[in-house]
Amino acid sequence: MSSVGEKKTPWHLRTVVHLVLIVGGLFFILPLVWMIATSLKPLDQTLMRPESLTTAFFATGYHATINGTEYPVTRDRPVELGKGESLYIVTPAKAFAAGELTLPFGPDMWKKSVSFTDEERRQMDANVTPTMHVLADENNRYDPAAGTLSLRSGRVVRADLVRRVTAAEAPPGETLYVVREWRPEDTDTKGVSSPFVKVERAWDILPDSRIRTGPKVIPNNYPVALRRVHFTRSLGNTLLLCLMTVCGTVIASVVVAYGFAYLEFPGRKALFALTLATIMVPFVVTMIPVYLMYRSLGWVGTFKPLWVATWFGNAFFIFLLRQFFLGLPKDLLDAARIDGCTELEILWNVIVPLSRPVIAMVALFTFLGTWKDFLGPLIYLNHEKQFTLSLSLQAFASEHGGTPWHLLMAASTVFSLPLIILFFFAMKTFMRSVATTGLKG
Amino acid sequence: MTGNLRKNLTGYGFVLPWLMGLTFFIAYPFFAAGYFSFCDFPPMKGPMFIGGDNYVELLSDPIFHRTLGVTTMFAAVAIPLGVLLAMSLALFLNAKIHGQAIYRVVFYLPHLVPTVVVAVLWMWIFNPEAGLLNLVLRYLFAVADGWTGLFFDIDRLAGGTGSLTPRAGLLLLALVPALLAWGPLARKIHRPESRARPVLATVAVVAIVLAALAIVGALLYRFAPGDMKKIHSPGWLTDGDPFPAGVPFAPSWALWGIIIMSMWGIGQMAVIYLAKLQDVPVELYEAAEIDGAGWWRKTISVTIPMISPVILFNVVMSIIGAFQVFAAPYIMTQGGPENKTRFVAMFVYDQAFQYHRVGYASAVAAVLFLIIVALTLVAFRLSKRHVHYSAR
Amino acid sequence: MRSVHLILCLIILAVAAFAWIERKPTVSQFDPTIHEGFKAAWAKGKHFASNAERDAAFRDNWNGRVHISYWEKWGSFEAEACQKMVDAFNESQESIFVHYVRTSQVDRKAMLAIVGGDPPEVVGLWSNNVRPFAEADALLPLDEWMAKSGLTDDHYILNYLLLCRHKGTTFCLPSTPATIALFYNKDHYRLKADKLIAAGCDPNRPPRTIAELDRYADAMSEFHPDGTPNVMGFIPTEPGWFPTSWPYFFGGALWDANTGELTIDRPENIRAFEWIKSYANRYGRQNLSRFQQGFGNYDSPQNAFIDGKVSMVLQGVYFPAFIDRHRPHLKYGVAPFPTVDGVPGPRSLMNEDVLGIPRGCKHPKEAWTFLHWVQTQGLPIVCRLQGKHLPIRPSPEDDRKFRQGHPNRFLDTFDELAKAKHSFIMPRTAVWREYADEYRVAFDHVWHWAPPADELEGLTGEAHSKKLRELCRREIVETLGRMRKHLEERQKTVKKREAMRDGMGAR
Repeated sequence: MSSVGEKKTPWHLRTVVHLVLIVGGLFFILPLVWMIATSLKPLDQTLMRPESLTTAFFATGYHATINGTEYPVTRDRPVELGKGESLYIVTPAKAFAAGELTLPFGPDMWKKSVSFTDEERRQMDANVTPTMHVLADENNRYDPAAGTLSLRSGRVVRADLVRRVTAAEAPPGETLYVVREWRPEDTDTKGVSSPFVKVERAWDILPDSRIRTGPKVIPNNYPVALRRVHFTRSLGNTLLLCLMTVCGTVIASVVVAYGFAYLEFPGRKALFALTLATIMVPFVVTMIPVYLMYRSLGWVGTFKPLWVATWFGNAFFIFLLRQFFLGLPKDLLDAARIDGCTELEILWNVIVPLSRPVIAMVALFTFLGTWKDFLGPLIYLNHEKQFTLSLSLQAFASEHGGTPWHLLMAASTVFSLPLIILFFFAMKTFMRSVATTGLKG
Repeated sequence: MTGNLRKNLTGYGFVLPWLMGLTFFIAYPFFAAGYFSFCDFPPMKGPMFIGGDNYVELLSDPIFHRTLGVTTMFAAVAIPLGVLLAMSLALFLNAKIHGQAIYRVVFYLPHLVPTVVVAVLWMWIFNPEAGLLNLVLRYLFAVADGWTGLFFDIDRLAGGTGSLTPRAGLLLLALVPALLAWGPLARKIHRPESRARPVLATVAVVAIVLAALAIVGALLYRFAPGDMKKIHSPGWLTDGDPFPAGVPFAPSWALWGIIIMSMWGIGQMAVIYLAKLQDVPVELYEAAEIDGAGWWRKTISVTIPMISPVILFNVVMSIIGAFQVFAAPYIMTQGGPENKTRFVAMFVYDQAFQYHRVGYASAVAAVLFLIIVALTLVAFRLSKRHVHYSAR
Repeated sequence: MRSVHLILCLIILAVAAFAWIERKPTVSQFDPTIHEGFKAAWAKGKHFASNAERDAAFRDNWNGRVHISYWEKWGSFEAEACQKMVDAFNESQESIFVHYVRTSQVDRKAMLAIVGGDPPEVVGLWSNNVRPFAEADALLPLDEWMAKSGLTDDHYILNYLLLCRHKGTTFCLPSTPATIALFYNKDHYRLKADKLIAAGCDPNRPPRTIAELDRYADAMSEFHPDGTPNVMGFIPTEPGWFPTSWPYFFGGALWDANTGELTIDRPENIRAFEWIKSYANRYGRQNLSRFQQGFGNYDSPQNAFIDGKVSMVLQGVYFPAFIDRHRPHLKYGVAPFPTVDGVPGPRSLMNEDVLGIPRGCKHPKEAWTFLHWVQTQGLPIVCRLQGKHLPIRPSPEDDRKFRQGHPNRFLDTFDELAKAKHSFIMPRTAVWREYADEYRVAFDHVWHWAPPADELEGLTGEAHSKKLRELCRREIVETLGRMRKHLEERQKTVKKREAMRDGMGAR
């Protein structure tokens, strides 16, 4: 496995290496692929146990023709009918409230009850009109002889038969499903299962053969997720923070590193050694007193604690830059000094142009660090309006009422994309930064 | 004299931001934290000196002990594993084959993913019902069990009654290529420089590995049937049971989850190792070859010592990092089943911001700092013997 | 000055200016969406269809008002009830506007905001938060304001006010109260009347003593052929929200109000723990936990009581509203929870939601105006819409108005329990948080504890049960004893620190 010499690695070793790298690479890449795959699925298909690799990564989309029009549909549930059993599709003779289909009590009870929110009441009060089809099953029984529908609420209304569904409708080996029109906004987890929405949409009972399957991607997950995460606002906050920290770190670290590298003053060596030592001080140790300090300044709840400190320099980057500066040819400096430039001018006109790659690396690292930062914003930002992307995503993930994985993955993908795109544009800087860090020794 | 003064002032002027930063953001908090650790300090009132009471309480706090245990277990497993994996990866990435650029990008990508996304994504991957990991494990074990099942009777083994079957004897066939490649007949059969021999060697290795897999599988089914059953579909983040069951100080399934998640990010370390690998002077390898070293010997005697400074750096940084792990367990498990993923950094955060006991939290932070310093000193002391700094 | 120096100075100035300008976000950022016809909606239903409508209703005098934020914990219809109360306040005057902010984990977030120096003006907490917040000096004392506004002790049911006090100072005021009682499924009583009669119970009334409760529960429990429960009469851990109440139903107490002593291991308390353990022993802890795994929470049609899986539960005044949501025609009754023979009743745990004014908020006076209004006019609105009784003693006229058409059919039962002589509140001790935490740990430990098998080796029948009881009792006594020692130590430490702090303050 050595990389030396002119000998080409023999083919069998090469195969082994490729195999190992491919298998290893899968471990690294598969989660990202999974993230994107989940982000394009509807919620119900995310939560199912995947039966095969294809269903794990690709959602199945269903299409069916209902009443002459083709719709994208979802399969609400399978219909199991024994011999002689049947379901009925009926239309009510008169309108009634949608809640009567799903609630075991009637409008008189829910009207006087305080236990429902206004939105729930709206959904329950919405009218099921004679133009809509109602599924008469074990919850809402239909008596064909009397032409009456016994609603779940207990009331009995007159209803006309549209169609009688028996097991015969399913060709042998196929299952019948209740299919319902699916609209892109359904991917938002709120407000999907209201009783009114269920009858208002086009729906039917169809066997497998009349439901066309195909791959389904739901790009609509993305706008919905981004809205729930307040993406533009969070992105703005994050970018603002990144701008401030990058400027601060770069300017301060370059200036200070210049001082350590080229200027002499008493105590320079000791101070520099101290700087190195502070790299080892973990954040946890200073976290609380720093928080209390910001609190007494009244800065908790603003962005200031997150970027002001960076304008004073960063030990690690100061070290890196100083090492780099020390490696630059001295004569340029001397020449500039002879020309009568001040130190700042030397820094700006001579050193900085020579150090562009390293400075780019410092900027990149800082940008990455601030983009990813979680603990800082968690402690210092209290108002939702100020949340950065990390906080917004975490707040979204910990909301009540079940985790909407598909939306979460969509938001995560968008959150990670900028860095990956940045990587591809600045690959050289990344790789070089890695090499320089490695040289630290 | 004024010239000198001016020079000094300019110097200080340039370093001034850092001096101020050092004072306000590092020195003052450092000593303040030390002082607070000896105080009782509810954040709305002021600090009140109480001597070492906080430390005494620390000694008997079972949750603190649990967090220390969790963090140590994590460090003890994740750091060596990480170094091993990162180094192996670097060695493989260093091989002269096509497509290395693509591989390197692939392995580096996860490092670019923000911490919160990593936590959320892996929380989803670890979902026992619908997550990716259990899906992959299902397929993996279908294959592995099928393979082991070819030679052994798994059900009877798990039941404790199984023993060797005649089919197990087939495994001995794996030794054939090994014999052909390295055995006593080998020198007679092959001419030197023969093409067939290295190929046979590779085939032998593969065959032995496969046979070993079957045997290991059988042994596991025989002696740890409970674990084997569990591993087909672990509960991951919700499961507080230790794995392997019965081993003292074994991490819980939830902690293993966090360990695996942190392995996902070793790409950056691997690339750093890779950069250092490529800096190893060629002459050293050539000298080693002249001395008759094979690739294993070369790796041990040349490659590893040359990159040992980076390994040391990595280990020290990882130790410090392990004591600061916060975002992942905070988002994924909030301390986990029965505090089994409560890391020390989370404990400090909880004590300070949730139970408003800043004094106690500062005491914990102080203890942490001492532990980190001690571990780092140990690492440096050990390194004196093993780490080789090249003359520059 | 050279150009570089100039640029550097400009950059620093720009950054400083940016830092200066940045402010914490405030509440009164107006959303200028005007909605036609909002006044009609308001007149018709006295509620707003959306936040935009709400903002529009107050657009005219928006900027003239002081805007304060009120963080509250509720969700669903309870949140809407509270919003209606806030709307009524905003409508009733023109100088203050209260922004109702629904906050999850409100106590945690409030503490963080208070410590960080950026708190809301009014925060809705739970009564067991009062002590930690008061100890941490996080809330403003309200006694002066109360005296000035004429809010006296007799405006309240005393216990509800005592919950808001810590060491004699009032730090909060009551919001919505709660009492607990026995809910029993009348249909089950009717259907299993013969079994009840055979066990010596009266199917026409609920049990009045704990011994009766055990008999009823045993008679009404149904099991599958393999021994797992199908329907249970009663389980102490369903829903298990009031573990600290059991000792009181046995005549015990968690502390002595006169001496301040933490009496965790009194004989009555031990008997209470034995009784709880007897359920685990009788029906099998694993059976029960598997049985309970299939239940939904209190706001779900799969709740154990709502779904008819458990015939009797200990639940609170808010529960009928949730039963109404999922099965309003469920035939159930509410009665005071049984006590042990000889222990006077009726009695109930009293706890509540409270409202406090955080220290360091920007508009404490306006916050107090709102709080005062809530105590006199707001509580009837929100308690009625949430189906609860009142923590205050209103005038007979207001009381009649409150009760008329109140959605909770069992209002009288809960109200009587709130005013009952023997109803109790949790210990008003400074170490209450640790006490509650340790109690929960002890409770779980006792519930899950299994005696070592060798101690029961070879015993059957009566001897087995007797030995089992003995072993459990010993474990309970040990656990509670340990707990008491630990808490007394903690109490001593707290007292010592308080003395030190007072000493410091005096200097």
